[in-house]
Amino acid sequence: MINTKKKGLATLRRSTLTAITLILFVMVVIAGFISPYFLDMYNLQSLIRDLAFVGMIGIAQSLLLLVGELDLSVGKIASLCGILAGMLMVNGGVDPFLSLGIALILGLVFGLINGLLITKLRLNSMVATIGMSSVYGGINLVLTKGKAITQIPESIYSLGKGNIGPIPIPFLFTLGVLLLVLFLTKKTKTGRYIYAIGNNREAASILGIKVDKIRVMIYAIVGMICALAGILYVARLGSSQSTIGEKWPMMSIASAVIGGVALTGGTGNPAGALVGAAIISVISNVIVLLGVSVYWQSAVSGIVIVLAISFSSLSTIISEKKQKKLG
Amino acid sequence: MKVLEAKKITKLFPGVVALDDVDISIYSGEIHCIIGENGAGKSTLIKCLTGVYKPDAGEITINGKDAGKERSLFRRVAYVPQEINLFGHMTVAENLFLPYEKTGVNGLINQKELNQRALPLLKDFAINVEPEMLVRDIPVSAQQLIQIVRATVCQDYQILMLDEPTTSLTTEDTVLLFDIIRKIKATNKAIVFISHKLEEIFELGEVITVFRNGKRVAHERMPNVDLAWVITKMTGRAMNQDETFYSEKVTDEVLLEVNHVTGACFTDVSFKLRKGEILGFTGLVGAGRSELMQAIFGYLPAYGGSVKLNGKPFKLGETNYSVRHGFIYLPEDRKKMGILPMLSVRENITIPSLSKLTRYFSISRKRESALTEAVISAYNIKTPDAEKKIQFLSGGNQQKVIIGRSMSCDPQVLVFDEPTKGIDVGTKAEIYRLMKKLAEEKGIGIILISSEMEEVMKCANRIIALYHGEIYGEFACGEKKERILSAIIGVQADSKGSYAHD
Amino acid sequence: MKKKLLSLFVAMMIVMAFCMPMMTAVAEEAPFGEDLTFVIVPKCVHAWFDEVNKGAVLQAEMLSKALNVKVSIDYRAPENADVVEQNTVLEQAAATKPNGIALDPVDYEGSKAVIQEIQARGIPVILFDSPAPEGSGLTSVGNDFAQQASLAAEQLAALIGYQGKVAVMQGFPSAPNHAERYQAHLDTLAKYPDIEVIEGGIDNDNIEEAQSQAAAVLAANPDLVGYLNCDACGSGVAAAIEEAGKAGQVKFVSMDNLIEILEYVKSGTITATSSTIPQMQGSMSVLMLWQAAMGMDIPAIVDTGIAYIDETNIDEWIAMVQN
Repeated sequence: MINTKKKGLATLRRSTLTAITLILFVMVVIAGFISPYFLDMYNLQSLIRDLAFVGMIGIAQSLLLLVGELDLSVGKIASLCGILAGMLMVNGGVDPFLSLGIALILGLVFGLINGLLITKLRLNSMVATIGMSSVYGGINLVLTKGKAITQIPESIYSLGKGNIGPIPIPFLFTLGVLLLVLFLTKKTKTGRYIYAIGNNREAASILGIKVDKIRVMIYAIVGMICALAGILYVARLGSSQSTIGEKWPMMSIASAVIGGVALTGGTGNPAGALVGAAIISVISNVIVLLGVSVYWQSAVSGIVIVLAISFSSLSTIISEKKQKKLG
Repeated sequence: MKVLEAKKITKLFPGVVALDDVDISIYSGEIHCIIGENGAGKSTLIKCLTGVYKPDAGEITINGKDAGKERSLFRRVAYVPQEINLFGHMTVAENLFLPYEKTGVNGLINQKELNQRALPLLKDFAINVEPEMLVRDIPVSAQQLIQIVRATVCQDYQILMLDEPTTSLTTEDTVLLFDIIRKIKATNKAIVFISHKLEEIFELGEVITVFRNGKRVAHERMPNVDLAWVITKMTGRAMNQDETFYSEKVTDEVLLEVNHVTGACFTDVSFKLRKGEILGFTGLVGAGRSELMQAIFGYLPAYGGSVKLNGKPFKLGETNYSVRHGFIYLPEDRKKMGILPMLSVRENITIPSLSKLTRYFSISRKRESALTEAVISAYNIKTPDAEKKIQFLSGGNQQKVIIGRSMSCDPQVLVFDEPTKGIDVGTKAEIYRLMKKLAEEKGIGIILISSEMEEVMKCANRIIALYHGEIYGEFACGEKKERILSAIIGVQADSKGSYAHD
Repeated sequence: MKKKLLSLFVAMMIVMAFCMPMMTAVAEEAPFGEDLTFVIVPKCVHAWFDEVNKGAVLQAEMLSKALNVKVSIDYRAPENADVVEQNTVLEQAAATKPNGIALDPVDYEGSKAVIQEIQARGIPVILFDSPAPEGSGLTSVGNDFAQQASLAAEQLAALIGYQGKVAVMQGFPSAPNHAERYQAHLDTLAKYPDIEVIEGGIDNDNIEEAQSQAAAVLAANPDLVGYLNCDACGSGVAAAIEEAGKAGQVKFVSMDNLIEILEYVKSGTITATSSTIPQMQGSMSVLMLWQAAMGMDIPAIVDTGIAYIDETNIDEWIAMVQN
């Protein structure tokens, strides 16, 4: 009796992620059936390469969502870091890989600025990052005047375009980021503190957790992950574009929420964001594969996304009801 | 006249029988007290009687008609929940009449008319606020009263159910509330009163029904019973009411020395806490007790003064510092400041000890489980398993988790802020015993903040009375209750306990 | 207090950040009656519009010399291609009482009321890079987008020997020039019975989307021989073709002459591109505005021509654009 109850509880605890992964799996199977090209190697590769970027940003965003905040400047940080890396190597003549490293650190600094502004001045994260998004976007425009930076050294192309075995390299980076983030959130003290802050900020403070320090740290990590996504995209396109990442803020939040990370904080698994991103990418890929009229695409993918979000919230509602009854 | 009758009510939840074949009858013009430990089935019963839950077996009749079939009958039952759930940013009048359809406010909402209608109600209940004030700006006690008035605004109610209505009220407000309840009773309404405070039940009640483990264990008219009877029925065992819980191993060693600390709600407070001592802080709601301790702890700012711990200067203003140095604060509002609701019991227990459980940057699951099991058994925490989310545990068990986890931080000073608020009698005694044990065995200095005079008098070696943020008296244990009471309402006594009029 | 001041300061910084893109070219108000100011309002901040501005500034300098008055260009680019934002920019521009406004409308219908209001205040308005909607009575400076697209489609048809499967990617459907190009592509290809036209995706004027959509189209159609698009995001399609390893195998005739597009032409992934001549659009817009400001009638359509860029003339174009 006790044993079965324990098992039931364990499944319920993990239910959202399990359910959403199941949905993804079903979608992939259906997609494979309705379009013969879906499981084509090239299609899968480009699909996975695509979702690697939104997925990576989604994983970063879910860290912030866990403490009950969000960052709407992720896209602009990514494109600014891409531009800066491009300028360093093309105009500055800096070694390409060194430039990438510098861009990563700059991303960290931008994130740090976000975090310090939000914690020290007690700003609302959403409004503050909308503002900072304009600042980073503005710097981008000042630097580039909207022009792309071309003639990026080919030595870094493989980071964005290459594969290891059949797997696109950007996706390996995303998996790497995911593993690090999962280690951070699930295995370390800091990770537990992140969940604690998202659950109850006052209680966390009373427990002696340095709430603001951890919040700043997360913003910095997020900035760095954005920079990574930005420079990988530069490597993929072979040029630094100032317009990349425009949809990343919303897409990353949608991915995380589809994956079961609560907007209100404190619960969810960052891995869900990657699954969420995969669901969004599979939808838009299948729509194109099927040759759905271009005018319908946005509406159809919107409907599926809303369905996916409702599904994850539905499973939460059900699990909560069951939990309450057990109590 | 019998207004409500429930026969053979059974309510099952997966794995639990919440209510087992329960009968209860409510008569108009009578105050019916319901009592039981947490988890005894009181809340489930109330939810069945108000139509929130549908019982799995049995029937509920209201005015002789089957309420299971005619659900509109449940509107005859007015229910006042324990937590305050008013709209803070709306006015008193608006709160009173929401939802408008139910209170007969139709068509366009006229603020003036609402305020006019609210005035007599506020006057009847002697609530000293204006109808146009925002609810968040009025005192908690007034909010609690507003909540009760709101339930009675629906004209057609016959039964008023009050769930722990006095938790946020001061003694005077409680007296006032009881007058109001008696007045309502006089209009031939039935009153159902749920409370953990036994003295209130004896003061107000006419009939008492006791629940234990989902069963109705006793039903009696009040004059026929005494305190010992109630406690025996509730807990299933006899208990010594006169038991005291002072620490018997107070040392001379000064652990904490607070000198002239001033903050937002208190001025120039100085006191000393010894090793192994339980020091009680009492006062009215708003006297600044919690604020004082939170400021020493570093959660709220302190404007001036200094603190020494073990004779060494103690830094103010940083909770992390305090926790690291063994100064732990256990908050009054568990839900708001204590628990991490969506995390498991295990995660709630180990959160302050993670540094000790970490090896090679990662938390050792084995050590974590071991600590969790140890705390659960040492503090007798009742939970189906360690992975249950803490929000689904009863208040008493949440409190034990909070105490248990604090103990693994090697505390030197523990501040218990209203540790037994909303906790039943049986568990209360458990917590008192725990405090005594901690003080005696580990030499911890304990600061007990409590509004319940009985509690402070039973547990504290010394009692400090606070009034408007200032110390108005210090008493040794065994002091007469009247002397302490006069100090907390602002009649100053000197440190030897003699009166000095202010 | 210190904190309050600091937060006020930061708030100001953020507000300024919002305004920054609009402040890049602050109007120099004409101090004397004879001095002239013309406002250019593009769709958004974009390299292509910078070229338009270059042409406009050059024309203004010429006019200044010829007329011996100060003719200045006030270039005001909205940060995003958003009709509301563009209307705000328009209203702000009109408030400086310029002598004329040249506008590339994001969505003419959405800006119609604002344009009419500005005209009612005696400020001439013309459109560039966009056909004049019927009944608007506005002068349109630019090339014929239909013609630009037909030219590209004709060239592609010839490149693939008038047979095979061709994908056409839609841009931002509510932008009239994108819609017009799309229709012209379809109309031209319809002439050839052996060419099968399929949906080539929709990129909403975004390079990332162009890339992911083109990748899916290429996967679903292994027998694809030709690709056409309608906006300046050809580099996204080109990146997808390259990743699919189909450079050269799929002929791709794109639009516009941004540097990254030209580089793909140079490397051969983009077979050719058909470009408007933005500098010409800028200079003709200023000329038309000056004539209108002088009270002259101006023509309904000013065609600024189309350039066809392929391997034969790519080097001179790269040189021209990079300068």
